[in-house]
Amino acid sequence: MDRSFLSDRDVIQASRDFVCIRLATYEDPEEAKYLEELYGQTLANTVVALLDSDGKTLLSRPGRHAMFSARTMRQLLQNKYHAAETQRWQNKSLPEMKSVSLAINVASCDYIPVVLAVGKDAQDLEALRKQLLPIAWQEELGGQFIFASATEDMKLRNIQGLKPAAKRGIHLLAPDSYGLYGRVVASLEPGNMDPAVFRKTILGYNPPAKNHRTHTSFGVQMGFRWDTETPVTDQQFVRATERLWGEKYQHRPPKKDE
Amino acid sequence: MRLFQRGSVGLVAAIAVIAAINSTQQPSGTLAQQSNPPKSEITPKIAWYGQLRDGLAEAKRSNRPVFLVSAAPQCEAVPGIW
Repeated sequence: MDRSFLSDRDVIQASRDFVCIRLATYEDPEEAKYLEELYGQTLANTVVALLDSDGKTLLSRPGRHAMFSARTMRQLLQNKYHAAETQRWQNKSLPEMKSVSLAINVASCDYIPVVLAVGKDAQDLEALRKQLLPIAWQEELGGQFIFASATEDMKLRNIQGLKPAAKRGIHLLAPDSYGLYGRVVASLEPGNMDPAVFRKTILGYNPPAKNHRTHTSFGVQMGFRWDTETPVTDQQFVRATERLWGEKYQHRPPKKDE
Repeated sequence: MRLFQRGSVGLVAAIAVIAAINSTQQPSGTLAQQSNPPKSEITPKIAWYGQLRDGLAEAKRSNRPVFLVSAAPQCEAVPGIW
């Protein structure tokens, strides 16, 4: 899809009164099923749509590209969701990724850092999420990082610089350019999270731009292959993958975070 | 002269490969030790929920419409790029 649509300031402004959901295609069987039903055909790599708050009623035709504009989004809000304005930035949960590996990869794609909460157990993690919630939805921080969580017993092999003695807490990670590893660049103590430090670290992240052709060709040379959770069904994409890697596409389930 | 050119090309290629390998082993950007960027310099971004379950729960709770995108975080099976 045309990425410039998602970085258009009018679209970003209009998006503030929507609940924005960006799924990672082929990374969750249930989500893949939902998308396929919504799309009405074999799942493509990219799907874009506007939906009612029930998550089922389509407000725009779903497609590989946006079949609507920022103006359509604003009109929809005015005509149908008069109360939406008051809900802006009052989300009650963190935008959490399904796994740490996926969070690092998506953050690398987006050129933004990862905020990783590591708790002793599920209950402890919930307490850390509560501390982060008011900071995470500050307007200037919205969309500026990817959030993931883990428990202390997880090995987290794809994270560099995580000290075993100080694993519990909030860690800010810089992903590598292929989204395979994240390096700890700052850690915040639970119960003492300074929003200024958080803001400075997140907004100070400035990775170099990637060239699409160089990135993919070098990725193949190095064998940096991303295995999806569910089989890729977009035939255009399958053919391109086969050409790039010089082999027939076969779905290989990924290694899970441990 | 031709030999020198070939050698130069080889040397440049070797340096490029080493640089590229280093770039994959190190995080692709620097954080911290930078001054706090002023508000005017911050590029706004869409704030996405990354999981369907969480996003739909928030939409239902707040009665807001949903802006849904699904995209593959890999290009032709190479990660780190949409």
